[in-house]
Amino acid sequence: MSDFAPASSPLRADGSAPAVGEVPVLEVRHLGRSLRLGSEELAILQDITFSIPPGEFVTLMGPSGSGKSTLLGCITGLDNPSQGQVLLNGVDVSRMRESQLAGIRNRTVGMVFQAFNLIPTLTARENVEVPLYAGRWRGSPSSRATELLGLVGLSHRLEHRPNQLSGGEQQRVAIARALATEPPLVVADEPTGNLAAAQGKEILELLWDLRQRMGTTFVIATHDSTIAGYATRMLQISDGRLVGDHPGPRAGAR
Amino acid sequence: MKAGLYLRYTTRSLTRGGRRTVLAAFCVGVGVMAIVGLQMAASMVNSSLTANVRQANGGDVSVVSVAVPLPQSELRTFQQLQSSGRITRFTAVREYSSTVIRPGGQGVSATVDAVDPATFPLVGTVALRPGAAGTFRQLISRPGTMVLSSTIESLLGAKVGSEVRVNLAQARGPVYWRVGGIARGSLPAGMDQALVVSNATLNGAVSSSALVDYGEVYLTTTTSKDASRVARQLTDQLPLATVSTVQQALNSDKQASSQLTQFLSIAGLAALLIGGIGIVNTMQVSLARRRLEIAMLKTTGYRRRDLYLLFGLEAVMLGLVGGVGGAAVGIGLSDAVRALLEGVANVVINFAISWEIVLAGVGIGVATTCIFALLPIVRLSRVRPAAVLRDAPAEVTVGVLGSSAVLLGVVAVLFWLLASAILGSAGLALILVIGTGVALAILTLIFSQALRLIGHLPVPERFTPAHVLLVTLAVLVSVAITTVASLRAVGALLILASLLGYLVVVLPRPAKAVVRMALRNSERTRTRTAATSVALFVGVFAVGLILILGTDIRSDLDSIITQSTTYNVIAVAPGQSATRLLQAARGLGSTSELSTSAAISSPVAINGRPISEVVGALSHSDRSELAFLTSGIQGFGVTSGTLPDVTIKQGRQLRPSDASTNGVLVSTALSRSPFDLKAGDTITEIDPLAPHAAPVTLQVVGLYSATSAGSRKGISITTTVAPILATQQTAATVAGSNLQQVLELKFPPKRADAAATQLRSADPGAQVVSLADFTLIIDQFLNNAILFLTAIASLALLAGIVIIANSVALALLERRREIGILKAVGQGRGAVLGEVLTETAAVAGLGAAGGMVAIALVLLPLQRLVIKINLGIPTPLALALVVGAILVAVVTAALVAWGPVRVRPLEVLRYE
Ligand SMILES: Nc1ncnc2c1ncn2[C@@H]1O[C@H](COP(=O)(O)OP(=O)(O)O)[C@@H](O)[C@H]1O
Ligand SMILES: [Mg+2]
Repeated sequence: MSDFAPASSPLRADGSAPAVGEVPVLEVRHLGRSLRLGSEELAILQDITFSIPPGEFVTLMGPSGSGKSTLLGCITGLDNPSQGQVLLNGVDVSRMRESQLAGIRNRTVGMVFQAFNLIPTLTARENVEVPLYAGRWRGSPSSRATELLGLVGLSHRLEHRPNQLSGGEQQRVAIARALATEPPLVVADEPTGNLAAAQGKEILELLWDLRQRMGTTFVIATHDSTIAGYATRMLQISDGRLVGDHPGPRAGAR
Repeated sequence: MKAGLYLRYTTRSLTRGGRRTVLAAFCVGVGVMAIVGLQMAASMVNSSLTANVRQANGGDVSVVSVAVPLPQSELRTFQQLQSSGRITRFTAVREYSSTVIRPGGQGVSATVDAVDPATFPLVGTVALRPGAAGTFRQLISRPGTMVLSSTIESLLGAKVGSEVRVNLAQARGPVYWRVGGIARGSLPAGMDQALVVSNATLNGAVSSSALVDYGEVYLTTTTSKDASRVARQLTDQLPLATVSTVQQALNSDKQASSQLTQFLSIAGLAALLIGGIGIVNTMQVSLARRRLEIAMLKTTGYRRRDLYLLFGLEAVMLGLVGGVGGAAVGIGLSDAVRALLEGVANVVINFAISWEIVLAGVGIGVATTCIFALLPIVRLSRVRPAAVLRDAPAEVTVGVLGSSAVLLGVVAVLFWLLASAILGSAGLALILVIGTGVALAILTLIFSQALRLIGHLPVPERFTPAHVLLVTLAVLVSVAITTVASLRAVGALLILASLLGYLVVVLPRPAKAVVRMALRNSERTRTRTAATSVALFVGVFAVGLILILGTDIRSDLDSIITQSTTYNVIAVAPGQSATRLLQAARGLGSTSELSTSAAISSPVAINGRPISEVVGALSHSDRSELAFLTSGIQGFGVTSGTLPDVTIKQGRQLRPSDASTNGVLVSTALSRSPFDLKAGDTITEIDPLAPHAAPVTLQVVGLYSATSAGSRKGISITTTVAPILATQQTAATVAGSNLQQVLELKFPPKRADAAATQLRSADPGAQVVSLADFTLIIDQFLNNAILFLTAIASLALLAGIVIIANSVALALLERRREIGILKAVGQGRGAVLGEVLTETAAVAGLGAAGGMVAIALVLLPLQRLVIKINLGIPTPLALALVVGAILVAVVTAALVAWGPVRVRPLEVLRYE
């Protein structure tokens, strides 16, 4: 199923470059993002540098407004950094054109959002098929979607529309969609923010489980400290600066 | 496979769009309906004309007298042709002038065409409308039975089976003929204005001494080569008649029908353009609602071109649905247009579905949708994927604006290509597209500036000196405007608008807040809001102009005609009965009488050159114009001081000495090339109806332009009854045998009609026409024009409603969050709705008032230059139109806004 072997490299708390020969899934170098508001220049992110080798389960913690979403936007190429670089699987995406980025996003990054963002007119299965049709998926999109929905525990809800699903179920569909093209990296922005605590926990268990099975690297932004319990590595952001980069409670877990 | 998901996504998006999808398909459908309906009607006309062209020509060759009837002696020419075998058969139609009396007593001038039922028509048959009591031949063979051309029928309003009184020139008394049937299409060439009877019926009504002459002769030949040879010979021999072969008739029909096709296509194109604007609007709303969805698709790797494909597919499906629906309705419409044209053009037009046009219509629907959908699709495909993270407003940078202009250009070029294909003329299409584009751009600019002003109107908490001063100033300026007569209605509107300035201060505080918000909101997205104003502007402008011109022109024409200063009844009769008529007119209270004489004459030479030689080099239309301008002579009692009421353009007016030198005036139209007549030239005229008449050479002493009874008001009612104006003596010398007296009588306006009726019964042999009778014809023309313009105007109003509905929907969509916040801080549903409606009312009122101003501006020069009638906008009409437009807009907005304003704040504010 997956070509990716789970990463077994030692985790680096200092965020330094990985060992020779091993390409980090994500590398951020001196990233800055500022916005011009009227005559003022508002710095949202400043000089952020870290590197994530394959297989990590990273939480990006920080209070609301600290710049988590902005950072994820820059990582996934949804937003253009003002300074610095972002490398996905060793490829610099920070200055790419939109049409090139689209291909990278399709193959390399899956995304999960707080608001699920499913297409209301399509069924669960069709929603998962969407990215498969954007790129060149070799197999049958429909059976791939069915397989992934099975993996997130929704085999019985294949033909249901988003409004017929609970919030937790919708988020599972969104996760299946993020994983559809087998991206090495999945980024999630407050994936449990719209969910009750119990459902949120289920979602995190699912994400952890998927990381174990598929070796996918996860970066999860949250201000919910309970989530931090799952991390193999924890990034701490405050006022647009990276203020902490530590191994998580599950560091070293396989 | 990919297509499968795309199709499913598209169909479901369309289904979810619900009413909005229906609206978009409706926009396309209206355009396609118009195109298919109008083009198919035009093609029916075309094929009917060409199919029946021999029948419409009356035979292989038709000879139609233009101004001078053919004397009986000319029939010998045709008899010789027949005995020499060059023509197989011919039939001649006798022509007789008459006045037909309507049930109400008014008279309608008509030509009685007497035919020989044994030979007429030479080819085919005359189709009759349902209800006739037999075939044309059967009916016409019955004594005292006539068949009416559809033109006469519509003027007369007579029903099949009714008896109609006909006053014939030189009749023994009034005759009563029964309407046997009404021609369904056209009678053969030259008989369009006729009522048709048999020779026997006519002979029974007129004195045996009456002159016999012919208006038309139709003939058949064995081959078309013979036909053109015979036609050439007849053209030489009868220089003043119109000789047409089937081929020539076909060519002129084709020209007429291609003009018709073009006109109808332009109307269809206008509908298509309006539909297109609706599509832009609707697609924009439907895609804007999916902003997040689009951003989501982008985050999973969809490129812009994937999205173009996806939404392009949606446009194609929309176009297909609208196109098929529109084409289906268009087929029905084409039958209605066909019936309308059949009535107007006097041609039998058969219904036939042209599947090519229907298919092309569906294609045009798809093409139009795609072209116009391009704007919203390209715009919305630019949504940055980051929108999924943060619902940030789309950043409008110079770059985006610049490429929008490029995009508009692309749309314009594509629409131009489509228009070129539809009209078959790239040049015409270019003029239309550029003209429309420039007009719309200017209007949008004007209205967006006006909206900026409205957005800054003050809504003060209490009366302040500055505010009171400002409002009072506005009121005073408005009052000043009302003093200009033609701007009175505009001024009245302005006064009302200014008074609102006082009203707003005394409103309760919550209402004031609503008004303030509404005014500020109207300034947001100014260009889109301006589109609403423009739509209403166009609608109100069109409807208002039509109503005002329609009623004003009609009533003014009526009053000019009835109060015409020189005469309002005209009577033509032989000399001895004219004297009696004059007596009778005086007895009926006429206030002025002018007696002249008129006679049929025809030219034989100009400046000594034989007429056939002069005419030989002329085009068909120049030839008939020359015939008109040189056939017929009117004699004035110059010695007793009666001069023609004309303007001399060259040379001099008539004087008594002209009686001995045969000095005459001719129309200034003859001075133009290729006629080039001037004072000092000569025209030789002959009496065509006298057996051995001698030609008389006339000296042109002046060229006149026909001033007219209503000239001060710019309406031309010619006071001359024949083109050559001479002394009474000269007229008698030229055509003594058929000289008639012409009495121009003036009665008090209210009594003119009654007087005409009484004169008719006093002398049935006289042709008496009241000028008021012309109003019948004018009314008919105006009715048709008004009907057509109203149809176009309602399209504009329809577009206005669609645009209002869409922009309200779009605005509410964009302000969803804002509305949620307003409600969260305690504003009620009513207040939110009130804001939307107040804003719509302001924007609509602006557009409608603009429309009224534009009408006033259009009427101003029209009044001075063209019509010279006192055209003004009646203030009640102006108010009704503006208030009506505002109401329509507010109701539309209320229907659209009803759902969205009830949105629960939690729903909107839940995220972020
Ligand atoms: N488009 C924008 N305009 C203005 N401010 C912005 C914009 N995007 C982000 N910000 C600001 O940047 C900061 C970080 O935002 P965000 O990345 O959404 O934080 P988080 O996701 O950690 O809550 C916030 O203070 C926010 O107000
Ligand atoms: Mg955030």
